[in-house]
Amino acid sequence: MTEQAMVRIEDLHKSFGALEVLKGVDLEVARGEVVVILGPSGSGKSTMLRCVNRLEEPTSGRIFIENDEVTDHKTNINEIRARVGMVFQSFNLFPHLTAKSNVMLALRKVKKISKEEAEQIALEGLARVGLDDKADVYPIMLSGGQQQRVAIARALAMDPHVMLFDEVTSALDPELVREVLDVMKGLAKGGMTMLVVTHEMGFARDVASRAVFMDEGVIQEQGTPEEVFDNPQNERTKDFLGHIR
Amino acid sequence: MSKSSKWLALMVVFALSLSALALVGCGETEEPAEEPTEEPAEEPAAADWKLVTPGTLTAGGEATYPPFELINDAGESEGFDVDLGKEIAMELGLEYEFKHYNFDALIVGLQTGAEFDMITSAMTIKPERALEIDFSDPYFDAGQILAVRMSDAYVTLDDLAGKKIGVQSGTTGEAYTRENAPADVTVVPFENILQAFQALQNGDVDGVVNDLPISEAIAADPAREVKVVGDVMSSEQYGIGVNKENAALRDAINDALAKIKDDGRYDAMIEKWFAAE
Amino acid sequence: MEGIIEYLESIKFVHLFMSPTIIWQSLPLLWKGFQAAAALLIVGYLLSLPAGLTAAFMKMSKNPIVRIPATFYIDFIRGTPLLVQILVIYFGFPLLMPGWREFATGPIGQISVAGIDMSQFVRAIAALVINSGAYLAEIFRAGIQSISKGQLEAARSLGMTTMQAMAYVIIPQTVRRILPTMMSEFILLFKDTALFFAVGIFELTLQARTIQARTFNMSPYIGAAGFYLMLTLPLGRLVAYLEAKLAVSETGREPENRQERKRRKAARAKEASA
Repeated sequence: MTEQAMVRIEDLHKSFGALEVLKGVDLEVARGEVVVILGPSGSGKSTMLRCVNRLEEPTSGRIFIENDEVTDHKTNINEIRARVGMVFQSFNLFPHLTAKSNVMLALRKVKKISKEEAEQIALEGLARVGLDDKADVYPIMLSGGQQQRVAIARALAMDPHVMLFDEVTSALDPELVREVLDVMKGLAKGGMTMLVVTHEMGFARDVASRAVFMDEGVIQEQGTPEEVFDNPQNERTKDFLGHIR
Repeated sequence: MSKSSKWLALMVVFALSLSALALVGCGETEEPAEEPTEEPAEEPAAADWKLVTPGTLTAGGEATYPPFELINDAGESEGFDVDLGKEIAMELGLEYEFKHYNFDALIVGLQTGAEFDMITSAMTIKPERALEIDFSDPYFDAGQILAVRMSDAYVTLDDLAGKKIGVQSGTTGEAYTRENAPADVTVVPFENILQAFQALQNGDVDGVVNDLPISEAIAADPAREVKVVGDVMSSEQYGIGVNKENAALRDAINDALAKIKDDGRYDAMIEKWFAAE
Repeated sequence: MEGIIEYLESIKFVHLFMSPTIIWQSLPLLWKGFQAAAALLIVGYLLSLPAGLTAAFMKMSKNPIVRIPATFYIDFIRGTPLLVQILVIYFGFPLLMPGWREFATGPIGQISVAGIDMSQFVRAIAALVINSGAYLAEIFRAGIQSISKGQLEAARSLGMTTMQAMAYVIIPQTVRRILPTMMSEFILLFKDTALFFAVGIFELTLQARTIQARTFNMSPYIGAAGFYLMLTLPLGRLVAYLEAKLAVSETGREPENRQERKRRKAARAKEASA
């Protein structure tokens, strides 16, 4: 092991009751890599992502973030989550807080940063996603795209080592998708390690360093976007891509 | 209906009832004149009684007042009044039933004429009550007595100046205490006498004023840690309440009472229910 | 003025139920009773909040050892009359406590809280908190569970502990949402304080009852009713206002019945002009 992997997933299984959603997933993500995870709905791709910061409790298998084992209950999961950013399909902004306060909350309460400093970081973060003028606005007054950008700023403010994106554009009106993808592209160019579950093929082609195709709870095929999209080896991959186009 | 016509209607009803009363009054004055021409005075026959349930003498009482009336572990009513009622019913050749009623509601219940035939509920014969119902001859001498905690030294109502005295709501005990206790005493009414004694035990009130025999019976239980003190504060007598329109029953009850007292059954009941003293 | 009062007293119904003279004479005692009831209400309610919150979290716990007692407590209290609870707690509590009587008759037990002896006040508060805590627990639980799961996940994904997520994200949203219901419970609790008449605590109703027993007149009760309404009417209006405001802020539109009223009004105006 020459370089420390950012994320390492070993033989991950996850069942909901009798339903086995993940049937043994192995995946390693290197520092700076942008991994796009594709697959039909129900393939287990979101569940896998949610296992990485243990929003879902894995049934078996091990997951490491840098040197720490996420699946070991002795590790302080809150400390790990603070350096794993996550963005959700439904934004999940805190509706009772302004955009700025949304970004500041975890800085103040988790990182225990002073109010002035947290405010500084929040305003910089909002500027980074082009929303510094909306700092004092409540989420209900923002468009879906704007809310999602605040959510990204909120995750980034924690200075994460890796970002998880869970179908972040699926709930958006088509004309609002671009502004969110542009922010993500900027992040990727800046060298952020990213795991992205998405249906946006264009984004995957442009930005991904690796494309992973999941179905039936396992990884069916992976490679560069060109390999997977233009010359799929697996029948399921071919079938899926055929439907998308 | 407009407001004024409502008032009019009310007044008409009022006027009608007044005139009805006047008529009844006239009738009464005429009666003595007619009576002698009617059949000669006679002992009321059994047929003259009006009973709520034919063949059964139904008694009403609040069964939270040991040893006069209480509900025992088997869920049955028992007590001095219940035994007395049984004996009276036997004398009259009737079946017997005891119904539990709130003390406050007993007089009204008797007046409806549909609930029970007599009140046996350790009820003190009082002029205000005698306006509403008839009473039999007295069957028990009682009076108000003060009860205090075993550890306290109070003896009279005056000793309790500035303190709290518990009573049962609506009883002669409440009326007596309000009239005779020092002005700065707080009279605390409770739903039944056992709660008043519980409050005394718990230190919520500092004395309880209530009928002597009941207070004595409760104080006889060492677990209560209370005692009766001082002299009996008023002389009172219990009577059996009967509907004013049922004089025949009242007379029959009086006869039965006299018999029960004469032949030793009364003393046996006293022995049975007040033996602890 | 005197003539009017004399006239009113001459009407039997008015004299019996709303005699101005008797109500006027009752006011000082009723005011004392009101203060006692208000003290029971405020202290009881404030202490019910943490009790209810604790019970709500216990009932939402995955651990059955924590959850089952809370479920039992909530079901038991909500399923039995408050009067029964008051009698049990008020008369039963001292039996559990050795030396209670010494406390009750001692200097601390005799401290007057809004006219109620401390020894009585603490038991009354215990009864209120045990009762209201169960109702508030269900209000809190429903409120917390109505907040989307994503809120907790978002907070947790930022590294907050469950306690932090509850304190800074879930509870503030819950409180906004359940504020009208919490205030309704406040109003209910105020009316419930009347039940303490049964254990000889001189709150509003027992004060009225005592005057009634002396005067053989129902007017003190009506006077007491006035004191109850003094608090419940404005609060009831406030609840209605908050509910309407909440409906607007949550859905971005006005509540159905108000829309309906507007539509009818508009229709009527149209009809009139036609």
